[in-house]
Amino acid sequence: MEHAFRKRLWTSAAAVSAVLAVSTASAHATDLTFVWHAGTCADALVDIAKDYPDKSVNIVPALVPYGPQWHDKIASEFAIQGDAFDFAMWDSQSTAEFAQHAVKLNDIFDKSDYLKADIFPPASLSRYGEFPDGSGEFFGLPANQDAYGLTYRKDLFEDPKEMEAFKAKYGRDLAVPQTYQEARDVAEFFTRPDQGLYGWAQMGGRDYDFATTASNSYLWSFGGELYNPDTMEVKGYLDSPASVDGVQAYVDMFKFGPPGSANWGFDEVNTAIQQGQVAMAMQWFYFNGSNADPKVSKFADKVGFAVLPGAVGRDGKFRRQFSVGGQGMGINKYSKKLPELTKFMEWYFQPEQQKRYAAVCQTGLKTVLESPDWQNLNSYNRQFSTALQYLNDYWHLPEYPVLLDELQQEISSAAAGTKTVQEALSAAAAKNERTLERAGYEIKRGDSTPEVPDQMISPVGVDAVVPVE
Amino acid sequence: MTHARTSTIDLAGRWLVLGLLLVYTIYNVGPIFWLLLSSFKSRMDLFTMPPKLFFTPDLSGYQSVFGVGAAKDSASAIGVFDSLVNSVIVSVAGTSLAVFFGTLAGYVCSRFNFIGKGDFMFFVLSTRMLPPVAVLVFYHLMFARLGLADTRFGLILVSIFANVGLATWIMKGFFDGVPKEVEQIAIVNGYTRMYAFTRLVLPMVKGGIAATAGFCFIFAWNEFAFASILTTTQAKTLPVKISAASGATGIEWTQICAAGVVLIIPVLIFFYLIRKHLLMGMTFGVLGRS
Repeated sequence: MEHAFRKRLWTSAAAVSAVLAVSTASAHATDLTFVWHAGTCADALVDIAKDYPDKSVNIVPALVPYGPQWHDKIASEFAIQGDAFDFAMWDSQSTAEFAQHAVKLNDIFDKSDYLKADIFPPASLSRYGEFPDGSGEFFGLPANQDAYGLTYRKDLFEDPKEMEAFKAKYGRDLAVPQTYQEARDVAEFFTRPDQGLYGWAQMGGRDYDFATTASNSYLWSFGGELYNPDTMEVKGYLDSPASVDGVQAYVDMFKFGPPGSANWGFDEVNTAIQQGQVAMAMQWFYFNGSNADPKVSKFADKVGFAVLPGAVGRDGKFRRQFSVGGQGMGINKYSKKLPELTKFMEWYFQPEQQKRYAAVCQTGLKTVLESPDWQNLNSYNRQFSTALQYLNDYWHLPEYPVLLDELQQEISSAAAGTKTVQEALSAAAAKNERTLERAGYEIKRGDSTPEVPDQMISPVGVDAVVPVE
Repeated sequence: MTHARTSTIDLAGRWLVLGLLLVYTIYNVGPIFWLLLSSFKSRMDLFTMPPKLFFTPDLSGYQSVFGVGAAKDSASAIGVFDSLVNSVIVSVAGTSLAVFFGTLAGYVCSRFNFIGKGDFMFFVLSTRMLPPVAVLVFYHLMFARLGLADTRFGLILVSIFANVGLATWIMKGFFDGVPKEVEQIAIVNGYTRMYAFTRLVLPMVKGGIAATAGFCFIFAWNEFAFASILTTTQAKTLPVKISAASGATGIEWTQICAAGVVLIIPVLIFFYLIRKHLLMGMTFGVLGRS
């Protein structure tokens, strides 16, 4: 009896050992692993890479969901100086945080015959890879550009009855809005809950950067700023009168959105567009492909795409500024495969490969962006090309994740109505300043703070509304 | 007349109980039914209001889950085969070893007094008190240095560490319910303690082992935080793989629902197999006291 028990014990031990032995995964020496959020663009990269002539190199995707998990995956690997991935796509605002762990690309630009800074638009290269701002040092390539845009129901905007009714009520023609003041009127006009139709959809959720990519677009357009990069002051800038005007306009637009839309993320906004629930929506250009796809959207043939509005600020100046999206491609400096990576990138950023990529996503390669073929490829590339000149971004500081979380918390509170905009921005300014002080920045407090901070930081205001197509 | 009134009250009571049971069943089964239904809906049908009960089935979710058909060449398709194998190996090995060590430790803590027993019991339970995020970077660093990152073996170790404390506590409770006289009689009759443990005590706590295994398996199967950071490509488990289901349209709900259906099937099979022991384990304490 005891013998039988021992035999069974040994059998069990052998079985467990076998499982453990089989479970140890093997690694491939020539795998180039990249981290990115899953989606069409990651699919496109993998698809293109299958044609890479050097068949001894495999491009291996390590895909994660969009949002904090994506950032954390890269950040945690860098924190341990690991080489579980060789290159990664990260948000433009993360460049500052990740630069210390990324290969400085200037060295590659100097040595490579093809991969040079001038194959990318200077603004794009700076936006997705430069740190510190204006330093000329690059840690990311503009692999996937994106911008906020406006999606609207063409069938409603072009309906003669609607046009007549709008003119009768507001005394002007119904048209794609050029300012948020105009957008408010159009949104109000189309808000008809009894018909299941609402005027406006935008993100307001607490997650990741949902609320603030939208609210910042208003804040900048009304002349506000997140901080003063010269003095590092946040108080008086983030909660300046112009910033409050902008975020108040953002919060007010939820009145014209479907119930509960103050908690929405990108997916809910897409659904509202695809179900024809809203007349206008603020959404990333990245999603225009699916919103114009009849297999996905009931209103695919009825939606139009435009550049987001601007605003006339309290100083009478017109500004059009909105959040940059997309990602830069950076190389993990702890990777031991830099020569193979450089060769792959020299091949991947050739026009032939980038044309394929640009058919489904937004490239950063200048020759493709400037080509008429690409601009006329679909109903929104031309607008995207225009939108690139109006982009602005979060703080380019290593403390970005903490600053973002603090601002997200306060802006989503304002969107939910639990705080006034003034209270939310003042609280966010105090938190952001404390974070910067703790990180060692010296806050050089000025004698006064401007009513419209844009006037003294990077003025973009002009005297009259400048319409775009 | 009194009898007739009593019958009416009994009948009403029965209907009330039946009604409550029906609500409870819908509450429990409803989400699973909805998950199953949604896994066959296209994105367009998913968000139609009012919701559709009858629609043309869309298999794209399952194509993505199994990496076949239109999703064959998509890197973003979930393609569950590899991750399903990873999940099964990690969960089964992790659960088996955690229950094995937990059973031994639980028996020792139930039958023997030793210095620091109380501290030891608290210590093994304290491994569950820390949120994973508090120790993630430490684990990541340690695993990377030891070559355990992105391996199933590494995840099995995590699963054992996470569950052995729970298994020890649960099993100690079950051993406490077995009278010490069982082993004492065996020893008096010339048998060894090991014999008494394996031949007499263990069969009496079979239900407890099944219940413990059930709890450990659920934790191991659904574990996400460690797996998401400690794996990159090779050892990704099913929950991590499913979470990355996003595409051009945003979050791919059809894929996620289809993957959810696939995710719960092994758990259902596992609990079906241990259902008799589980029931015995759940009622063990009650019967022991009665």
